[in-house]
Order: sequence, then C-alpha cells, then structure tokens
Amino acid sequence: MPYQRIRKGDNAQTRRAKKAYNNSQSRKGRVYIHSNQQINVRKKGKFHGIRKAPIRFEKEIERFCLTNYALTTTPSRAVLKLNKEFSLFHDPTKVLLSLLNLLKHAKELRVHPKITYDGYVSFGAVYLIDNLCWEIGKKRKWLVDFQKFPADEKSILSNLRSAVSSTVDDENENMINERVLINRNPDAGNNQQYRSKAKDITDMIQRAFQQIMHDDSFSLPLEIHGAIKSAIGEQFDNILLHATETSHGTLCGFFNKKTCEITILIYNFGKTIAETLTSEDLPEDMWDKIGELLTNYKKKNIWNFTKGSEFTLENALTLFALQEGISSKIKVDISRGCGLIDFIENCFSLSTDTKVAIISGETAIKIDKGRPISSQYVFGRQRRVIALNAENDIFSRPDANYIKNTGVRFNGLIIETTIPLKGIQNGND
Amino acid sequence: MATINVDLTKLVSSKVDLISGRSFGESEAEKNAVLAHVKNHDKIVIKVDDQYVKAINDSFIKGFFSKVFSELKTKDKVKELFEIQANDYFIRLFDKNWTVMEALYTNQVSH
Repeated sequence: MPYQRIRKGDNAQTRRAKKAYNNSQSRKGRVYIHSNQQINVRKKGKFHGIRKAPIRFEKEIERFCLTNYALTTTPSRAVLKLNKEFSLFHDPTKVLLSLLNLLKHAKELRVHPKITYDGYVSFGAVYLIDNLCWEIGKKRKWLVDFQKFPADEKSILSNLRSAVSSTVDDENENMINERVLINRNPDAGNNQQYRSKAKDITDMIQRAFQQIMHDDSFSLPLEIHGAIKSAIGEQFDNILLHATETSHGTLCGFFNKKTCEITILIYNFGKTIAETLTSEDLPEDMWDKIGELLTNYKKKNIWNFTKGSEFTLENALTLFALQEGISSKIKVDISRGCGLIDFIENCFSLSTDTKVAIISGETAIKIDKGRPISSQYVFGRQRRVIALNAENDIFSRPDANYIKNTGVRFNGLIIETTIPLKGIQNGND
Repeated sequence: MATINVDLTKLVSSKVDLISGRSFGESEAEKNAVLAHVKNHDKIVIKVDDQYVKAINDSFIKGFFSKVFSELKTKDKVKELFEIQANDYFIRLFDKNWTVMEALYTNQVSH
C-alpha cells in the first residue's frame, strides 16, 4: 500500500497533507458498519457497494434542518438554477428551501446536487449555501455545470472556499471570508476581531480601485469607510449585545471588480430578532410600544391573532425592531436601538442604489430606494422609521413585496448589504 | 475649569482603523472620567486624526455621550463643553449623533 512517510523536516501543511493521504489510503475499501445507509459509487468502471458514514452537520445547522424538516422535498434530482431570482434579496424563500433540500439530500445520501447557470449569480446566496454546506462538499460530489458559466462567474465560484478563512484577489474579484470570534470579555475594549477584518475589507477595496484606476495614491473616501464599517460594526455589536449565546459570526466581504459592487454578508445563529423582543426581561416601555403597534394593526385588520394570517406577529416584531430607539435594552440607556437604522442610513447616504436583505426567523425584509428611511412622529416623538409602505406610516400595512414570511425558519440573523461603488473613481459618488 | 484632551487616535492601531461598539464607547467615557469633567464644567477636546482613524461607528458615539446627554440634555450645552478637533466628515458625524441624542433626551424630560 502506498504510504507517505512523515519526515522531520516536513512543515505543518505537508504533515497534514500526508496524514490525510495516509488516512484516506487506510480507509479505502473499508465497510462502514455503523451506518444504515448504502450507496453505489462508480469506481474504475465497476460498481462497488460501499457503506458510508452519514453526514453530521454542526449543532446549529442540524437544528436548522430539524426545525424545517417538514418543508423539504424528495425530488429525484437536486438542481440549483442560478438566476436573478435566486438571491437573498429577491427570493429568500427559494434560497433557504434549496439550502434545506441540499442538506437533507446529503444526509440521506440521495442525489448529488447539480448547479447550473441561468443568467445571474447572486454572490450572497451562493456564499451562504457554500458556507452552510461545506460538510457535504467534503464528503459528496457537487456537479457544477461549468459549460454555461461565463469565465468570470466560473472563477468566482471556483474561488469559494468558505469553509475556511480565505482571501481572494484576482482579476474578477476580491473576497475576504472569516468566521469571526465574538470576544465577550468585559475588558475586551477594542480587541474585537471584526474590527481588523473591517480594515482588511476596506484595504481590499482600496487596492482594487488603485488597480482599476492605475493610481497607487488613491485612497478610499471616509464616507465609504464609514458605510462599510458601520454595516460590519453595528451588526457585530448587535451580536455581542443581543445574541448572548453566540460565539461566532460569519463575515464575508466580496468586491466584484466588473460591477464595482461590494457585498457584505454577515450571519449568526442564535436568537431571532422577534425572540429578543419577546424576552421576559423586556422593559415595560417596550411592551407598551408593541401593544400600541399591534392595536393599530388590529384596527386596520393588518394582523390578527388567527393562525394562517399573511402578516404574522414575528413579521410585525422584526419590522418594529428596525425603527429608531427600539431595543430590548432600552431600560439601560434610552439612546439604544439605533444601530440597524444608523447602518442602513449610512449605506444609503453613500449610494441610493444600496440593497439590504434582513432575514430572521421566518421573516425576510428587503430595503431599497423604493421604500427608504423616513421620519414620523410616533411613540411620543419624531423618529426615523422604516415603514416599508408608500404612506411612510409604521401603523399602516407594509408593502408585501418588501416584507414576507418565508415559511423557512432561520434560527438567527442574516444581513446581506450590497453597495454599488461605481463612480467613486470619478469623485461623483 | 480646565481643558481636557481625549485623543481617540490612540484607540486604533496598524491593524485596526475603526472605533466601534457601544460598550467600548461607554468604557472610554468612563476611563476618561468624562462625566466628572462635565459636572466640573471642564472643556473637553476630542481629537481624531483621519490619517489613522478611518471610521467611528454611531454606536460608539452614542455610548460615549449617553451619560453626558443624560446630564446636559441639549446639543447646545454639549457643544459648549465639547470641541471636536477633526476633519469635516467626523465633525458632521458627531453633530448628527448629537442631534439624534438631543431628540431622545429632551423627549425624556417632557415625559
């Protein structure tokens, strides 16, 4: 049997590779007796029946699968068509359902997923799938129909290695991907990993623009630093304050050199926004505000207590949490509850074509220039609000195109922010 | 009455150019005894060098000034005691957050 001897002078990477190779050699032909599953794999022109261990995902992903088990389907083929609709912004239900099916099929050893190109690749959706499915990729084949993919998209897809921290810098893209540790030490001060990653991301964009403009002295305007770092900082600050059991958040900054768009995707498992707003220790003042909101909704027949209502309580609470001055920690300090609206405002002040997708629990909210931040006298004072309706009134029915119930429960929070930066090289951003 | 300098540039390093986090803002205010200086009517100069500091998040500013606004309530009173020595971008950023905080804290008085 071929065997790679580990030598004294081998570095850590070589040692790991040799160990992995040796292990794979010793596994060859072994029957996995602890598994009840059996599949056929084609090997050197012959079919061999071998038993493989079932895939076990991380605890949080297992919980995500279990919560939504009833939603998965059993088609004979799992085909992922990447098009405009397949994005967290346009159709989060489609993305999350595909994700669930991929996880289920991998677990039950059914079919190999096939990915085909149908006109557009939404980076955020593909990244999320890649990130959550990496354990499948390690053990099962993914069939990617590369023939239809344009060269640049092919390169972006092949660079995705979201299972491990990675940095990519090529002619099509710049990407920084990191699983960020949340430092909950009270003396942490400025020692939070996301801050250095935020710098890495802005440095990466600056380098990209220097290459595009052939100008090494170009430095990114502070407005861009402000918007990007606000998107990252405010979200990680929220994880720190509200998702108290979460140890990591996943951060990805992706800059597409062709479209000059930066996509920042941050997600974490833990409490949903609505769960935070219904916790037992919620200040009385917040309960009053929730009561006022729901009474108004009920009066206008936007929401009622009956099951099956199109607009659910969770939808209402998630939207409510986006408004200025709404926080479960308001008792500690009345200036809390501005983080999300601040970051959204910063991104839109940089570019009105910004797109933000927020997914928490079964609720998906999208924010674009069609339904911008406005101001309303509500809950005793003038506030910045995201009403998501033409009236800019948070007590009126939000536009169904902007908030919907996905039906798939994500135990945590996903925020995808896409900011177009085209034009900054001309100074007319 | 004395003049106190708070140099936020010290909070960044070669690897970090962002100042963020509400709790970090609160702890920095405490570390610099900002509230004690406010009560003493001292002048506080906040310095930000944009060569090193590239972004300050709104949450940090709100954390830093939360106790100041609960004491002084209005933006005008804060402006009497605080001076921001930075470029226009950061001056506008502090001003924007002070406006939001004034709305919050003056509203609290009326209730």
